[in-house]
Amino acid sequence: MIFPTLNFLLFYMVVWPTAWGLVLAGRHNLHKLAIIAASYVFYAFWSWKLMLLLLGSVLLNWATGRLIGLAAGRRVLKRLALILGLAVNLSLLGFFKYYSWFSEELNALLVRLEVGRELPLLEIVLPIGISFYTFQGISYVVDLYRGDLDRPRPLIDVMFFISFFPHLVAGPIVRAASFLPQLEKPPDPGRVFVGLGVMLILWGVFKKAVVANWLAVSLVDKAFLDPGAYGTLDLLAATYGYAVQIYCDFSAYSDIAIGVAALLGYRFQRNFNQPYRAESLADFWRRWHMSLSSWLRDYLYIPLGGSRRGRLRTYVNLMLTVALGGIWHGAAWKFVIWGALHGGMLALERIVSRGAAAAARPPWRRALAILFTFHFVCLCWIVFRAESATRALEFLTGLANWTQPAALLSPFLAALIAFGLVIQFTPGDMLERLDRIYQRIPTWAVGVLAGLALLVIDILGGDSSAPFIYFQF
Amino acid sequence: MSEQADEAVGTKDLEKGMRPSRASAFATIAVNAILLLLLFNSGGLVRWTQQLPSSPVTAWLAERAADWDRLMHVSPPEMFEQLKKRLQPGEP
Repeated sequence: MIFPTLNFLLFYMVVWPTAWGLVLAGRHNLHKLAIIAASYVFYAFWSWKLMLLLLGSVLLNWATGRLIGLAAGRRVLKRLALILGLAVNLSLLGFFKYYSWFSEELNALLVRLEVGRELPLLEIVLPIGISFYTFQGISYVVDLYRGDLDRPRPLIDVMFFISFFPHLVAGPIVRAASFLPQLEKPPDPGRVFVGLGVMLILWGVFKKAVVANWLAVSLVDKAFLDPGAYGTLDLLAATYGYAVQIYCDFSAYSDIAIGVAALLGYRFQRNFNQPYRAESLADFWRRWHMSLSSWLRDYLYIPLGGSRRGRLRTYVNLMLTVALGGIWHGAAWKFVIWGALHGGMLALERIVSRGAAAAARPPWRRALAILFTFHFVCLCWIVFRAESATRALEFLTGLANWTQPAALLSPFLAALIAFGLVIQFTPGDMLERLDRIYQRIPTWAVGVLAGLALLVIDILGGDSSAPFIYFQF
Repeated sequence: MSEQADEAVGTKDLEKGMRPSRASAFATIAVNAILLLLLFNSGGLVRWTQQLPSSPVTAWLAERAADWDRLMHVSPPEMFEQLKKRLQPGEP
């Protein structure tokens, strides 16, 4: 089941009143159970068999949490419990996500080395959302180990936290220490951020159904499928188009997820903050997929030593963290290269900016920094999007093919790209301003406006649709 | 004073500076939005029923959606004529 569909609307129209009805009836545990059941129904729409894996992941992390709780005061035992939990979590993720790729690559190497033995090739289905729910499980056990969570939580809470349907298949990656305390008492029906929820859902549906879908279907997919058939203008447009598409696609899912959770009375942290206005790559990572980058920072970069163990170690830690962040996206060399490019540039930024005064830069330098960062990110997106390294090279070579006239780029697509870039520079308090307008309009009229917005989106969105990009991760 | 301010508006992250409402406000919003969609996008409902797995229930649903869609395509003058016919007293 995916968000901007009638199936989801009907599902939510059952879940929402049931969840609030149980809160109003004072049945907090039943409320949690109802949402857990809804989450498993939501997941079972893809595969009921893989739902068992999700359940297994929940039980594993709950049991690890119990072990950590029981070992309180005994440091070695506590550490052992953590290592065990992490090892099983990462083994599951590694097997389902990377085994096929690893065995193929290793077998190819063994053949080249003329070694007779080969790893068995298995047809493994990638369970949707496994990267997201595994990272959330790890967040639970690590937060407990570190004391960021005061005590192990009951199974019902761990189950709710890991399986909650808004974030289940494509994030945001919710952190145990910030989400689990919300389950201690029922959400307050008199204090729900309805305006925020409705605005985020409508904005997300617009970004996905209109901007991302049109760019994917009419420009990006075609250009990346056969880059040799197109010239500079089309490939340049496809590069910018993909930057806008992936932003509008992924941030749309996050916005809808945050909105859907907000209407049920739960709070997720923001996942995107106008990433293409970043003035450096480090700034970009503070604005792009913030829940993943902060997860990598807190659970990988800092435990590796962060910047506390000398310059060289800092660069190595940076490279390693971002390279692993790259592989997190999928089992393919292109993600390794993408991560290494980002890691390399982050290390280079550190070297260049070392000792530089943090004084405000003049506007022209800031504009240049934004342009440079955006184009570096776009260059990396080519590697990320292309089917293979060869196709990426073909694409890059094609960017210099000035002789070919534009066959894909149209004024409408150019307008969508421009729109996707302009929204990076809107005022930071835009939602707050819109909320003030929302507060002045009668609720029934907000409903009519929301209905009109959905009709406009349906008209502009066209018939074809592209799947959410981050579902494959 | 600060506690009062905290209660009146959101203080964290995306909610910062926003005013919470009653959950029931969403019910009003959803009902109005769905009514508007049912009136003006009845074709969407038909397309959705056509994608459902075939069963007696979904066949029934598809028929009702098609009936509703036909009704939504009746022009106001036609609707007026039909209403007039129904309300007019029958021939003696």
